[in-house]
Amino acid sequence: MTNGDDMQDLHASSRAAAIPPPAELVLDVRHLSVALTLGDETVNVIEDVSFSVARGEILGVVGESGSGKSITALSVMQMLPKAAKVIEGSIEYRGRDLLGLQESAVQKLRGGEIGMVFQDPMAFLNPLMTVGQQLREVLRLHGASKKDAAVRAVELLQLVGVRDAENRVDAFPHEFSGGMRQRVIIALAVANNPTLLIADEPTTALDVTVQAGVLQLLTRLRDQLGMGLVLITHDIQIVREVCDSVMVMYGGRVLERGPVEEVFANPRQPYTRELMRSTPRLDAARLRRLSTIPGQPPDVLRRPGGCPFHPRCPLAVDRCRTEMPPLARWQEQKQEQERPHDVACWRAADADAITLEPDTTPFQAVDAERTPILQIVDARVAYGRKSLWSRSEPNEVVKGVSLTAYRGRTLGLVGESGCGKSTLARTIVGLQPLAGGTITIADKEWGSARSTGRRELRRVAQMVFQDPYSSLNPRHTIRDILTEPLVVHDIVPRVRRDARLQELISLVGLPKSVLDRYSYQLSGGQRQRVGIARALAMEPQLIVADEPVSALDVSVQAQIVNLLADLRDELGLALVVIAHDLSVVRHLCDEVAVMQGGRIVELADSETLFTQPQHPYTRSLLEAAPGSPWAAAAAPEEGVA
Amino acid sequence: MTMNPSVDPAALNEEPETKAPRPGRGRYAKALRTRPAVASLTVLALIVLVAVALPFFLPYGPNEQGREALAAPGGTHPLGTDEVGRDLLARLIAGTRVDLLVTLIAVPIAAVAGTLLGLIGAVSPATGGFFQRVFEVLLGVPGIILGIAVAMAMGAGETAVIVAIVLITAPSFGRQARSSLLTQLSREYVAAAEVLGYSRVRVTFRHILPNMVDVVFVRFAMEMARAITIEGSLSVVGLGIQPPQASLGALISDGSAYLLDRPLYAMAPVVVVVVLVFCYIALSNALNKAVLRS
Repeated sequence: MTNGDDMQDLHASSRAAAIPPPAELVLDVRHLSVALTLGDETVNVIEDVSFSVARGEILGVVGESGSGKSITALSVMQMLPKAAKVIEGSIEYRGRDLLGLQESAVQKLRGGEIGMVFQDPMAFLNPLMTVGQQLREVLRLHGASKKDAAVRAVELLQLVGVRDAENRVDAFPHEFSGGMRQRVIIALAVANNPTLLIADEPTTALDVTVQAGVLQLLTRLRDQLGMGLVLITHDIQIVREVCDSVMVMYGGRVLERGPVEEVFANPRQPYTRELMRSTPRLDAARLRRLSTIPGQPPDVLRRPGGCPFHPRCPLAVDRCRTEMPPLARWQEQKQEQERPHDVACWRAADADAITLEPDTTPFQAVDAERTPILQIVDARVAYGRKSLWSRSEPNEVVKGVSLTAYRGRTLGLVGESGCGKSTLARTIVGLQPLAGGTITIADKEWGSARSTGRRELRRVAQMVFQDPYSSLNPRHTIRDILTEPLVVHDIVPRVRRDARLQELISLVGLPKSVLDRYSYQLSGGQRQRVGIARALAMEPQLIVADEPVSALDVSVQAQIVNLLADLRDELGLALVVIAHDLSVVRHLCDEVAVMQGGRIVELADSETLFTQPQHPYTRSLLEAAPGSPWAAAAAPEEGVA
Repeated sequence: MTMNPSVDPAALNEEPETKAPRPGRGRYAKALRTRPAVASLTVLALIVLVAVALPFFLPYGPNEQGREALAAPGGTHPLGTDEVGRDLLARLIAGTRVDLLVTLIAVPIAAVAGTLLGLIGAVSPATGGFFQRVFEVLLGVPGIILGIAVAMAMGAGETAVIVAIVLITAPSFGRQARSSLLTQLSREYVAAAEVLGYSRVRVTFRHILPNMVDVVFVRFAMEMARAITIEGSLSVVGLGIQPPQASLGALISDGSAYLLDRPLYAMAPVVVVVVLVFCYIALSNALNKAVLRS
């Protein structure tokens, strides 16, 4: 297998091999428009989308939520939800129009010549069937004999890098780790040697090191099977690393499209430029603020007229507001270039006004004396305990962690899923009892105090949650949500409450009008701001944020990261930020602790950790991150099992 | 380095105003406007109206004995008379009224008690667990046996029927509350409430309960249907509403002896029971769909 190979080598060689001779088009989508009917309204979720994929080509489709990227994929597979309908355009698969085919003919193609990989591996596998049964099923459905299917199932598992495939073929999905499950799904998708594979966010749910392996696997399969691959993702770093061509979608439209090298070297659409600029970079020194795109991606039902990006575009002129620019070949591209670089923008010629350099105001460390606010000494946390009913040993997840967080500073906690970082966060704010060690917050030891003094702890330490969708009560207005802590803890006298609400809401950069809305009427970024405002209502000295931006769109992530940094500086808060995204941590944190298997394996200030990682695990994390400058020494594909 | 042009951020923060339906309210109204719901509500309203108002217009009282026993339907006795000459229509209406009354007292009690006992687990896990075990035992005993036991212990009569219905239906509310509770507890807003230092009682009643009333409504309509059949089966074994008072179950039981000669005697109350049960189930389904849709 590809042990020792690194992604870039693999990529470079395959890209060279992929271009000549003039490759056969596997998928050719033209002027596709899909209408979605919601209640009484009908909107075009995607409009005039055209793209093609050749054999051996990887096309990256980038976009934020609501950009229409998944709908595009589903319409190719003819798997659109009932409410959605193709109203215009054609989808040709190897010269055959898929839209004109009978349902039975399409079924034959699906899982046969066209494979699809979805985001959530557990939801896609049948938990009651072994992976072998599931592989054999898809093989048999497409005409393999029983015996062949059995042999091929094992081969497929080997192909996707499952070790000990002969035995693992009889294992159930839950016996595989997340990354291995995703590999099994890929095995299912490529079981019948598809000529076209569509992967919708195949690595979003995975840890970085696992993600790197899966991406490598996809490129390798592309080379071995010569298939065309459509890779849908929100992460432009992944596109840059893996894809041959890229299509940038926003608000249901294609805004820019072309070969990866060209688009990334010379992006002409302001959105592409802003997206590249606002994606936090791992290889850049720590910044005071991340560049952001103001505003949020448009709601599907309330898309602006003209170019969908115009409300957020710094270059927008009147024409952009009324008329959608056509997707046309960038005028300055050399005509002899075989693959066109197309852009839809009235101001493409002036796009250089948006620099690609991140905001370069360097971070200035506050040299205030370091006042510790949180001290964790040898903390241990375990789930389950011996009782009359269960004899099993408690499962220790945090195995002796010592950390200190200081006023006005940010402590980052990184690690992969299952390393105990979230458990530690919950323990700090008192959601989990401590099994051993001590936690001292604001000179008071809280660890052992199960209930006494709890209310005081709440005033000192607050938490911001990961999922802004479930952390706000759907039955309460934002006003209710923010008033409740003030009432319960009697923080502000009744007459001043309204004033305090306004203060809180402006502190997190929201307009007053949100106060009377329900959480589901807000966008993800706005909800997360409400979550932060709610924590601030308690006037805490320490805020623990568990993956505060991982559920948000790229262009909104940077806004929240900046907001947290601003609040920390303005209010002198101590922040503890838990994240799996290293680039976010790098720019937000002063100190970073790397956790593995319930222990801290490395603790250093952010600059040192990212420039001179000491522990091998830290290094492997950095190497695996997309867009990482350390990728040259990337871990082997089978790095994590 | 170029300076970037910028967008006025203030212009982006305001979103166009949207109509803000309160979660739930509009949904129920909408669910109740669907065809099956409208039909069953209309029929239920009619039955209630008839049960309340019609007795004033009937020539005979339900316990008034006429001259002719087991008279054929027709004339002044549209459904005929029973074995002691009482007007069957008057008895049918009186029986329906008793059934509606008994179930409308018992099921709300069961709903409130069952739901609250199911929610106790949020405040005190041990107590909550205890009541769940009690519910499981009650669910394990067949309803009719439970009812017979209650009637034997308390003496048959309206009160016994009400207690029996409460004991039989409360466990389903309790189990239901428990499962909704576990769903809600796993949501992050509950953890947020805990970190914000809200008391468990507050979290339970202000945060969790409103998020689960939907399913209680659905279950309520369902259990109303079941309660009607419980009264019926208790009366069939003679432990329901006691004579001379009429009840649907008692009418079915008494009428079954004359099924061949006077089929309307037993069949009329059967039809009323079937219609009532059907209406409640249709209502429950409509509500359930509304809940699922959100």
